[in-house]
Amino acid sequence: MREFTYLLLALTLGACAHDGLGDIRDVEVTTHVEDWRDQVVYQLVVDRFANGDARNDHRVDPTSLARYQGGDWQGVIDRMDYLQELGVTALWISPVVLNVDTDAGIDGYHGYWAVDFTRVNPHFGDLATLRRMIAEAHDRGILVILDIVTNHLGQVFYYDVNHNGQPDDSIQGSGTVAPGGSPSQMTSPLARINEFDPDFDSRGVQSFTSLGAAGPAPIRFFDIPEIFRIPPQPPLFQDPSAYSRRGRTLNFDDPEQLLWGDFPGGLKDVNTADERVRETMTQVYVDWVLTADFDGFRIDTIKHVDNGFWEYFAPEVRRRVADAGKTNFFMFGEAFDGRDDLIGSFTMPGRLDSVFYFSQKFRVFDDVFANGGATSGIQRLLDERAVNYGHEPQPGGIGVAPDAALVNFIDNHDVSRFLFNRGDEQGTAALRAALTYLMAEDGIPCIYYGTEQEYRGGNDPTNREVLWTSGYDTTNATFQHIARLARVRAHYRALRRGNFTLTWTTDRTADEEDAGIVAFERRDGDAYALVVINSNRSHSSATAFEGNAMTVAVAPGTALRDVLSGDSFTVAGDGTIRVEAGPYVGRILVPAGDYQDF
Amino acid sequence: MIALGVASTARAQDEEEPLEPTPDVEVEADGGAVPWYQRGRDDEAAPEAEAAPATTPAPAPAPEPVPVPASEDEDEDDDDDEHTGGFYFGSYGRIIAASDLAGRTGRQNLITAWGPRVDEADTYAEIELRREDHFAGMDTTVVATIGYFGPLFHYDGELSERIAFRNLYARVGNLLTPGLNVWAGSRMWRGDDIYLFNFWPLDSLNMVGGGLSYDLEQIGQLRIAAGLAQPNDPFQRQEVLVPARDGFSPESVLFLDRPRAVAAARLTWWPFGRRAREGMKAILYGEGHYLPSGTRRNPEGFDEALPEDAGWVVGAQLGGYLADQNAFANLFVRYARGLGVYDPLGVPFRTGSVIQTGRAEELRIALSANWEEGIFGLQVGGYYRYFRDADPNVYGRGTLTEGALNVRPMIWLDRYVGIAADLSYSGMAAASIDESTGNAVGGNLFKLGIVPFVTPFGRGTYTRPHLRLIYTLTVRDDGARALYPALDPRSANTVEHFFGIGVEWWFSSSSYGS
Repeated sequence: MREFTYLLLALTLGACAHDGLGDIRDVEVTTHVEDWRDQVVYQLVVDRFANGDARNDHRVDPTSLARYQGGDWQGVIDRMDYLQELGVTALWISPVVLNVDTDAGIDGYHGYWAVDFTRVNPHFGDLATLRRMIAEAHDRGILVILDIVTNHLGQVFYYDVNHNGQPDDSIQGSGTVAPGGSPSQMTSPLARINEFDPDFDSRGVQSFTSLGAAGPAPIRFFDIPEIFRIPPQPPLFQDPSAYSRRGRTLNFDDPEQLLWGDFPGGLKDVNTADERVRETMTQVYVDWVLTADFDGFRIDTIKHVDNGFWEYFAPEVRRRVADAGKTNFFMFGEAFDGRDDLIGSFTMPGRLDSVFYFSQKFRVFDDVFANGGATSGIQRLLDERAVNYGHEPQPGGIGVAPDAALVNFIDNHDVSRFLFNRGDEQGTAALRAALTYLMAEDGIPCIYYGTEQEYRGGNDPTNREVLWTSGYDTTNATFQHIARLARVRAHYRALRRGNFTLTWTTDRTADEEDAGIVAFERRDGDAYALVVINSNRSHSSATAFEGNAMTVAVAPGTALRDVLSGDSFTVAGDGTIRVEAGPYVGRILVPAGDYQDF
Repeated sequence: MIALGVASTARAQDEEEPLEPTPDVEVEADGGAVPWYQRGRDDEAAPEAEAAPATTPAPAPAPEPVPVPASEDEDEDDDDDEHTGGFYFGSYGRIIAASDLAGRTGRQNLITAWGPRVDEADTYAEIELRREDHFAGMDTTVVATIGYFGPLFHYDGELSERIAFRNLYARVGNLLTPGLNVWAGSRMWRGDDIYLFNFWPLDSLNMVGGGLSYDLEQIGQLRIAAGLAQPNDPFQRQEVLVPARDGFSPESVLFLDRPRAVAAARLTWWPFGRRAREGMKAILYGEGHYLPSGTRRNPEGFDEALPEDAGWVVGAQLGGYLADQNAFANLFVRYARGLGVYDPLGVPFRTGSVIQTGRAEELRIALSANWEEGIFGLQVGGYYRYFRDADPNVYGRGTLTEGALNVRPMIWLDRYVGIAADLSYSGMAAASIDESTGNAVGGNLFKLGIVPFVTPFGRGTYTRPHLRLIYTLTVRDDGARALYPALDPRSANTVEHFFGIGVEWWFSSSSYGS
């Protein structure tokens, strides 16, 4: 009887101590994706997407978009239905690691000011909630991509230029001008001493005193726990030699500054040439995959990091996560630059699986769809792609060559929104045309949160609006358009995995018959789709000019039908087809036998 | 003779003394039936950091063992099973209002660590609540003494008081065997003082811990105590803020945590018996101090290792007394080394890179005496001190010699009114040169005080309460003036006046007696 009592007591206590973590106590790292080209990525800034937990609304300022707004991972969990209804199959969430909370009146809500790579940012929830969010996404067939930064940390130290042990931002000199002298001949020149973010110096930031140069400036880490402005973790990042310490990049065209300068804003450049840094940076992010079962990395500021780093980081990440059971791990980088060759260089063998297709953003979505430029620019960009990007899948990577897995986007958190630049009456139509191109072209479409709500924010931070003010409306035309395109893309394999062949572009942008037309075919074996989009704002255009219609690769007489309108077309006997589309109208033609009403 | 005027709650001051129910005792108005020095005294007073002037109250003259009031359930049995006990209230206090006759507040002139206190100008008071019980042959006492440090609300209008528990402990007497006493808690632990300086030259500890004593008949006593002390200073204790593990508010971590352990022992011998009316006592005393190593974080964020530290104190006291003349004299010698030089509530180093006390040393030689005969009384105090801090510098203000001599003759004009003269000298010399004068740092101070007083409980140098008018003339030399900052009027004035009215009392206090 006594034993029974003890057993009962033990069971009772055990029940009381139940942690409630359920199946997220242990993470099973596994592969959740077959082909990344099947995905529709939705980029969300966690702080702005949905606020599901008021307990972490610390220092929230709803009146200032440069401050925390309250969004969190629980909010993402709460809005999974919304995401699914939109057709999202992969989430790219903003960084999760602990950030410097605030600096110069601006908060680290975006996540790019890392201070402790081993901890989560409590503004967004705890590790259990992060795991729950990812598990919930996986349960719904949605992948989760983690945004990471390897180039820099936040404002974690200052350069003690004058050796006084405190961070200074002051003016030196009086600006005195000699009698009769010009302002450029000051006897006491003005000089700004900014120890938070001093200018680039290839020798390393130098110190000086009133008597002159005094050698390299020592760095001093902040220790302000109230705002997580603390010595960084892991401990390696408390070692000055882990940083470049050359000051703020002034000239992004100077390769040295580009790679080794601090990112403007006092974000301290990490010395990625240091093997210890490479290893530590690799492992801390692998640990996040193993801890929470992420499916990929979006990597920030890759053009500011030396290629040697990527050639270590990328293979090592693939190997380590594969060892843990996760293959097809996707890594794409962000090089905020219009130079296609630069962007593409990061996809060369041994490097990343893909990049954020910035050159396309500028040359297609901005030039063509927003500004009415000639669609022939699309052809030129495609021609460059053949040269500038990797053509073979990365070993151990996603199994798709980089040039076929580029991450396409119209806008993102670093640029003004499409509708900011197209505030006219036809702006939303132009946006929807661009979205049709985005969702039908090859590669991986990425939609910036708020696009579906027709947000119109300008540059950072006004392009980082809170989404909850939209009411998460699923009835507006753009939301419905995206959702429909996502369903179409999901249904037609050709639109996801098919080869991409431009069949019509034009230099004409005025009142010509084909002005603004871009057309392309997608083919994957028997699967076929023909996409025709009119980027012209003023009139209907067609895939024909001066009696010459567009030649396509399907047999004469093939009946095609537009899945967006239901309109039917037939390939002429000479293998051509004339498809007309109204201003900002896109058509996705599939063989009539494959037609399905979406 | 008059009856004890305060609710018959007086008792022995020696906390280790077995609390014995005794017959009613009446106290001689001019001195008391059993002088305090026959009983030994302990306790009381404010903590004193190293080299800080004493600011503590004076000792009491005549604690008397008196019957413990019977508890309500007292019965007629007189054996050890009888339970007697009750609650008691005691107090010590000194309050003064004084002027320098130049429109400013009268202030004590003190250029030495301890010195003549005739112009003592601070307010200090204690309220003590006790529970005392006797049963089964044992005595138990629970003491709570609240100390109050001025200024008073009626002086500065501030509705805030600086208070501290000066005693908070329990004691059990005659535990297991007669003469064995134990205590635990927080308390003052000290012996004989020099009243004129408010100075305990041999032993003066404030500790949280415990101790025991054993009384060998009436000729000897061994007392030992041990405890911990940890001033809230980054030398021994430092909290640092660390980022929140969960949420946003930073958490505080006790980063440096190294309390000082102090153990002390005192062996007292009364060769003629403890209660002899003409006798003497000899005391051997020692302390051991230990501070573990630790790490602290400096304001720049760098961690600094602090080595372990230790020190010791040895001392002796020789005293003689003539009860019939209420006369006594005590001679003290004390030598301290290392950490023992510094009071457990003091901080040896606030700045600088010297973080171990090994080199520090201190020698004290002190004298106190009292004599009363008829309408005359005389108190004497004097001391010499050599102090060297832990800094390896040969020169500096941390190496000094100092001393003071004070005599206070008094005469009673009738049973309740008298007048005292207070004559004193104090001086110090440091191994340093004053940059402004080019002279060695040091100075000399002379005081002449006239103190008419009223003692409603009659004659006696230690009879309290003591209501008094005080006038003191202080004369200081150039060196003494140079010890004050330039803005301080004392740096400019050779002569200073002090005129005040004050009072001092103690009654039924485990620290001061009745």
